[in-house]
Amino acid sequence: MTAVLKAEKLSKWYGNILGISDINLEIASGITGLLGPNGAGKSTFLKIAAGQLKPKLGSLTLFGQPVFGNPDIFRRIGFCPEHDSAYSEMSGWQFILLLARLHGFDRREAGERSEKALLTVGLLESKDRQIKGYSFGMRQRLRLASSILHEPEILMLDEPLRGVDPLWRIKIMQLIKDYGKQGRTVIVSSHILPEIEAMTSEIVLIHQGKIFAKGDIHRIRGLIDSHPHQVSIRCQEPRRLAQELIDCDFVLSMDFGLDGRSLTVKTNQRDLFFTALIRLIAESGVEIEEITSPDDNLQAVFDYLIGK
Amino acid sequence: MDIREKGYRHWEGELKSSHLNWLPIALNGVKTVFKKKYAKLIFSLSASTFFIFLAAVYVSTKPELKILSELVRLLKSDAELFKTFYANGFLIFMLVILSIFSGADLISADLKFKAFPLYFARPLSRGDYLTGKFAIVLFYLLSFTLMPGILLLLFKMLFTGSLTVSPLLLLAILVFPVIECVCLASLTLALSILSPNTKFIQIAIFLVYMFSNNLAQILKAIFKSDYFFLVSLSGNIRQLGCFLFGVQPAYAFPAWLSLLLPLVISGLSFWLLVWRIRKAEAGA
Repeated sequence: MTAVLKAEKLSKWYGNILGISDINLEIASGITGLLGPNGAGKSTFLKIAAGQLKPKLGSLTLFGQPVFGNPDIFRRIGFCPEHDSAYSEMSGWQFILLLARLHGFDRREAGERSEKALLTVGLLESKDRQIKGYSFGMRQRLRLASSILHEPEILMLDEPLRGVDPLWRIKIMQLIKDYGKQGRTVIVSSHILPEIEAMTSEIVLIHQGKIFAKGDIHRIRGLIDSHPHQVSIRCQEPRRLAQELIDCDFVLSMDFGLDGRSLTVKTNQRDLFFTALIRLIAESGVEIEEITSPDDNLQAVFDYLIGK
Repeated sequence: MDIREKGYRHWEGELKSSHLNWLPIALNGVKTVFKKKYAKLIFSLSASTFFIFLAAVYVSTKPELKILSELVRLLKSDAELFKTFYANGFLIFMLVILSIFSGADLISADLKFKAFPLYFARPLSRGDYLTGKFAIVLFYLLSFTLMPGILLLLFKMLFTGSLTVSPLLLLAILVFPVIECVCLASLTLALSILSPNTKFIQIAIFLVYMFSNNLAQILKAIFKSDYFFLVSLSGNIRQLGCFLFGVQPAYAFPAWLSLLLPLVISGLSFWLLVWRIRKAEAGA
């Protein structure tokens, strides 16, 4: 798959404070979640990717073109910054219309696009209100509208769901997923893991200005050897199942649940374990109610990688 | 093939950049200034000079009112009349007020609202941004200098019934207000980028106008030399007017020297603007 975004040895620091350091990264079309705790360097990376900051070292290209100081490429980029940057005296409509005009659309097309963008984020009814009268969530949606009004090929969203009410949170997540399905590139940053997990399994984990991991979340989990995989099995006869599993080399430890109906197994070879488990179930006839992997999720991967 | 494998193609057309990218910024700014509180009062006061000089033009063209022409020196020559119109103290004062009113918050508000990403995440260059902001101040300043100047000339032709005008006078009528306004507009924007506090910028612009003139007068009183009027904003404008209209210089120093201050102010302002925006963009 061709990389839409390509960063090479990208570094940025503010005086003595490190923003990001020596980042090499390729991002293809689809949704990519940029994850990391506060101050990890997510916003710095997105600002460089959106041409808002100049890197101190290294380079970043979009569609093979440099971004910083290349205004033409902004026709293809939609950037939703983390912080508010709207003129509060303007109405939502005036603000979006001005931005549409700045994209070079004529008056009629700018009007149509502004209306469509405001409708998409649910602000069409309050379009004539001054921005200073908008709630935090409404301002966030206005920022999103400003980044999608020109239907960009690559959408960069810095904490787009911050302050948005639950109903609109779901709608915005759906909008982002739709963008991804259309084959566009969406880079969405967040430190709220379930939000990212609900949109994509393709993540870039950034911490202390460096890329810790990149790729499919389940594949990344598979590569973490230092923490054994946990598999929780719910069944009527957990002790009988444990008896059958105890001889397997790849089983490191087992814990019984307090309810007496579950067994948690730690294994360092997940694939072998599941093959053996299926065979045992078939041979012993133990009835299994549920199999889950408590640490095969973003939170666990995140905690393991940043060393919590 | 999965759509993600194919890659998304939004637009197959050629990306073209327009030379008018700055226009939406300018139009929006002009509208915003027009809707401001006190706009009508400031515009009326700024336009009042035009009506006084319109009466003067009428008087100067009527033989039956010759007695008035003999009493008022500026009515004796067209060059003197137009120079006085453009460089009279009240109009210069009103131009400073107009600069404060229309331009003090132009960039300082962008700093306050952290609005640079609004512009620089669009297909706009630094030049487009500055041109758009510059055009807003220039529009209002020229509306009360160049435009009434041209109107005065047209009325003069109408009152005399003659279409003849000296080419040098025409050139001076067109060029002088442009230099005057470019200088004031660039000074306004250069000060506007210094702080997100618009009140501070407004005071700073007014202080530059007042302080430069007062300083020149103090230095002149101490050292008895007119050369100190080179540091005065209004003094330079007046002297430049004398130079371009070819009338008796207001101060005893070569009038062409007064071109230096507008050039230095415009050049330094442009450098400061580009440097500050580059710095803000680079996140240094």
